[in-house]
Amino acid sequence: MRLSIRHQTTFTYEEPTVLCRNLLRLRPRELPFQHVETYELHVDPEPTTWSERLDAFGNPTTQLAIEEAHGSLELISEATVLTTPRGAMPGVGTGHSRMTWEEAVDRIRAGVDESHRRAVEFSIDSPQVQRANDLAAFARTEFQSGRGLLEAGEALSTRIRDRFTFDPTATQVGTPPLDVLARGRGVCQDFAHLYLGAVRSLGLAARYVSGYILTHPPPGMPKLIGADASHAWVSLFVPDVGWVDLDPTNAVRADEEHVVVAYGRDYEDVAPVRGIMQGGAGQTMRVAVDVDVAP
Amino acid sequence: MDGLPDNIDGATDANASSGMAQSQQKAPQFPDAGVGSADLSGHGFAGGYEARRSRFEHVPPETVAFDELIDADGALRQHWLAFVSMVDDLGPDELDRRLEQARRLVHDNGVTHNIYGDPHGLDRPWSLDFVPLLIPQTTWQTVESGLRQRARLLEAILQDLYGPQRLIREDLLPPTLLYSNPAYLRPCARDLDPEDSYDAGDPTARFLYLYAADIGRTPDGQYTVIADRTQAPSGAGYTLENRIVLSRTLPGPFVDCHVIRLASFFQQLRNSLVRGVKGDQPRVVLLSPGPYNETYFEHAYLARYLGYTLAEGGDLTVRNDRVYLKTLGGLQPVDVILRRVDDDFSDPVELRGDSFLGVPGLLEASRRGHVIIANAIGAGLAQTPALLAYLPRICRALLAEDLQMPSVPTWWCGDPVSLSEVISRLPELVIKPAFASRHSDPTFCRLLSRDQLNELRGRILARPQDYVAQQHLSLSTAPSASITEPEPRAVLTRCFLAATQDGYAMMPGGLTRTGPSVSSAVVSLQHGGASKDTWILGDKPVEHRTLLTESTGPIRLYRGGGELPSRVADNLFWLGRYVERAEAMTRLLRATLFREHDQSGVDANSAIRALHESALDRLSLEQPLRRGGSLIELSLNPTIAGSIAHSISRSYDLARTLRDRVSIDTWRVLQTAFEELEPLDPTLTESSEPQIALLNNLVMHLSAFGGLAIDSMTRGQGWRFLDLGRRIERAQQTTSLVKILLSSERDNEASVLEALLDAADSAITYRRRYLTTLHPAAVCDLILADESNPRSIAYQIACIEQHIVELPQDATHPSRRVDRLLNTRLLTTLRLLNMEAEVAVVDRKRPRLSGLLGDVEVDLRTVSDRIGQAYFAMAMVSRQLTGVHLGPNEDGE
Repeated sequence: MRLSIRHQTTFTYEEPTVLCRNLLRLRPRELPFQHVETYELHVDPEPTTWSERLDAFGNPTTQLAIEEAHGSLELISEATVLTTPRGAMPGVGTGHSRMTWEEAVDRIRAGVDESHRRAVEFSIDSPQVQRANDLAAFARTEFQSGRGLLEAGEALSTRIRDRFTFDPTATQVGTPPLDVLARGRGVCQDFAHLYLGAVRSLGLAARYVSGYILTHPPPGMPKLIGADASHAWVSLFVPDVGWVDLDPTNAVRADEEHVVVAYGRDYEDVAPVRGIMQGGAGQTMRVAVDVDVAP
Repeated sequence: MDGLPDNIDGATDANASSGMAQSQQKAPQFPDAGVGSADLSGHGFAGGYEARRSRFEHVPPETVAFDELIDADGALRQHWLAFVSMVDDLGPDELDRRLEQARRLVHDNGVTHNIYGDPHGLDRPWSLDFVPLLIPQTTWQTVESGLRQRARLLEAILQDLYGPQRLIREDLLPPTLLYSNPAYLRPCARDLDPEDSYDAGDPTARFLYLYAADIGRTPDGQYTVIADRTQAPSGAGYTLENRIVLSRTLPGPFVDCHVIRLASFFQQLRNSLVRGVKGDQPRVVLLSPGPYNETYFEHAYLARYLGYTLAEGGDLTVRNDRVYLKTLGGLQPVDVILRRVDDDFSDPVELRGDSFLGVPGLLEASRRGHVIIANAIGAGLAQTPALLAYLPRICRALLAEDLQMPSVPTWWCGDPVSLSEVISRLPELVIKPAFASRHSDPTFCRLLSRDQLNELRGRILARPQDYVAQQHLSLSTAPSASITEPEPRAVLTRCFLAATQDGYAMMPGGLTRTGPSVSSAVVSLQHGGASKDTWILGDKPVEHRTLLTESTGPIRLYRGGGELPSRVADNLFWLGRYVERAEAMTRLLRATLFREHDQSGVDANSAIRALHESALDRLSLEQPLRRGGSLIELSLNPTIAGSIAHSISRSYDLARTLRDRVSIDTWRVLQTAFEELEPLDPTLTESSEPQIALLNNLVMHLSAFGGLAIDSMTRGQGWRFLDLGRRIERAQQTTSLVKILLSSERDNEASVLEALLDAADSAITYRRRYLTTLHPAAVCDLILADESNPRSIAYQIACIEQHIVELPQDATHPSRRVDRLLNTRLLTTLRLLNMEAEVAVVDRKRPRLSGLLGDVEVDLRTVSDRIGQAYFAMAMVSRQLTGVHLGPNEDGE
């Protein structure tokens, strides 16, 4: 499937910013199941310096600095991405896993090979996701003794979709998973964090994924411009098949309608825009995202 | 929040080491004939020490500490003989005299070490123990060889963990130890794939330029590393200061013991920093978190010694991915940063976003190879205590060598096998955080009660990866505390190494710390221990180099005059203003008190009232005059803005931030003034004599400050801003004084005029000119318009005029200019005054004079504001993009 993505972020300031420096993670990753055919980032005003590199997780990052006074900053990220159904690809977390979740925990703990040792980074506390007994208890409903890891992992995703209410007013960035659990509501980012907290509290490894998803308007309704969103889901380490992307907001496996931008331990590692500026009091931010099927 | 994790709590315990069972039974032996002056029979340096050492109660013999002075057979160690006999020859009286001098030197030089959590913590005087630790060069060479290897090893570890991570791939280091380590800063990971790299610098650029290790000696005399310091090692400057003080105190022993000099090490450090810089005039700055850091004194001291500009984060800016110093002359490129700001505070763009101590974009500038940061950001990872447990096998893997010098035996509890060992042996171990955390004390398990031990065990089992356990060490003891009556104290030495072209060079010396008492468990400056000089003794005389060269001049100067950071200019300006404000208030108060207590019968009531009015006008009081608070009490209350105490305390704070700019003498003068007021003599309110004496002293110190500024500061931009501050303040204070005293005609005006002359320090000049006739026009002429009177308003304005002309003018920034028109107009007005007409009285008021002085006040304030806007406004506050942490939920789903 060929998807076109347009992600526009606009900052306006009441007082001009004289110097600003931003760190962006907006460019989709190049992966076996997705190929970035075209990518363009438009920045207004024109940055003084601009550089691209891969971060410690292999995500493309852009750092740019604007050294002239400006009253607003506009970032438009445009990509065309060709996605391939993951079921057709070996080694990307598809196929049938025969491993129980306890077995996976033991193998990660023992660090049996390099992939397991690297997975450790995603099985421990991270800036916004801390393990807790209550989170482990929450996961136990699905993670019964002797149950298959992938089966339990998908069941947990389904329960989050079924039991939790999508409510953008309920939480903020950085709301701890325990609070999300207590409130029973949140947004995709919260559900991803909750999922990560739950499985990590059992000793499993899972990553945070930021990206986009193709949305479908209700039957008969036109698709609204700019009404899409950036999205978040998780990637569960299943030792015998690899990393499996699960979307607890929609209770599906991420597939050709999902586009991966960045992997990290949690949101903090993959925030689309970070920045520091001088001046620029009274800022407001506006975001518009469009994901469409490209011709 | 910033401090360096450089308190030196080792897993060390001096308690076990106190005393000396074997030697208690043995009669001390005399050394070989021919060195007879070293007397061990209970007298003299060594004898007294041995007697005191034998007195201590004793613990199992296998933990008997190694003693640096006396060997196991009770004999004096060979390398101490010369020192001991020279000290004995000097005798206690002479030693006491010299120590007193040395203590004064430490105090006068303002050597301080800030203690966190101590209400009097800022500027705690440095505690120097005057007995050096002596180590023969041959012994030292073994240490050097071990630590040079260790520096290479830690560099290799950093290269690996921020690069290919062989240590994880090949299972040489537990992954949790890396991934849950807060010192592992992912933005510092280096992109090694050439396919991905953009216009980047060298991805294998050096991490460690300066490395420090805390070493101690176990009972068998072996040196052991207790902790590594790789982030921003502190202590080299204190080492230098200790050396300067001690070599002045004991010049004879210093030369005759063939002590190896330190200067060459600092030269090596300088070479190390600039080696990679292209161009022949590299600019190096020392980046400090500022005066609230525990080792700020050292930052200023090192910057001055090495000839580097002392900068704070706000003084630097990144433009076009290059680092610049914001100076009065514009932005100046910076090639090298000697960094004393913690890793995670260094760049708010990629690291801690709430840090105000760093520089936005610094990491990217360094990644691109545009600036050398020493040590590279991220280097703190190598000082992780838990790493000690794995060094031997990592050394074999990365260097293909065996680790030469052992570390204190360490177990990381995150490893299940180590954990069970630790739990079973807990009572005999020392527990520390696994990851370098700031200011956390080690726990000595044998000092814990059963309940405390159980509680600790519970905490370890709940989060084992957060703890390391270390073997108890009985550190060696050395003569300490007093040179006339030395006592045994546990010692720990911090060694310093600088990168060279092909490895590392070690400082021939180090910072030796002692336990605070014979039985103390912790050797740490944060806990009240002392430090001492470390003498490495060569076997032949050391090439003589004068102490002057070693102690003062930078080794090579390359700081130009024009690169005064804007923040420094700002602080100098306000230093000038506050010192002047304090002096004006002191003179005013003295004039008041003098009249209040005058017994000559002259009617001064009117003058006293006028002076009171003027004094109260300067104090920021909520109510005109609180009941029970006399004028002097109010003026000595540091919480009231405008009071003498407040102005002096602000001056002192500002001078602290300018430690690399103001001379020692200037600092001393302010310190003395500050100390006059603290603690304040409570009987001061009872009688006038001590009050006037105090004010006289203050006037003397504060004028001395002015004199030093005139005489000892070079006429650079720094001096100009200091003097501008003084001139503007003096003009303002005098204007306000005249306005309050003379705006209306008071009873007995002659006494008011006399008081005015007195408070404005112009009485003698007046009397010389007019004898005793007091006339308002003549007094006003002298105080307002006479440009030959250095106390007059016109004189100040003429000086300001001259300064404005000489200020740096940046043609590219029109806003960065100060228009002198206003000031010139002011000066012309004063020059053209018809004083008789100005002082004319209408209905007992002087409307013209009031109007004139009101205008002068407004104009002076405007001039001051414009200078501030033009030169100090560069220090702007950075803020985080607030919108950016909004997640997908805000995107309109």
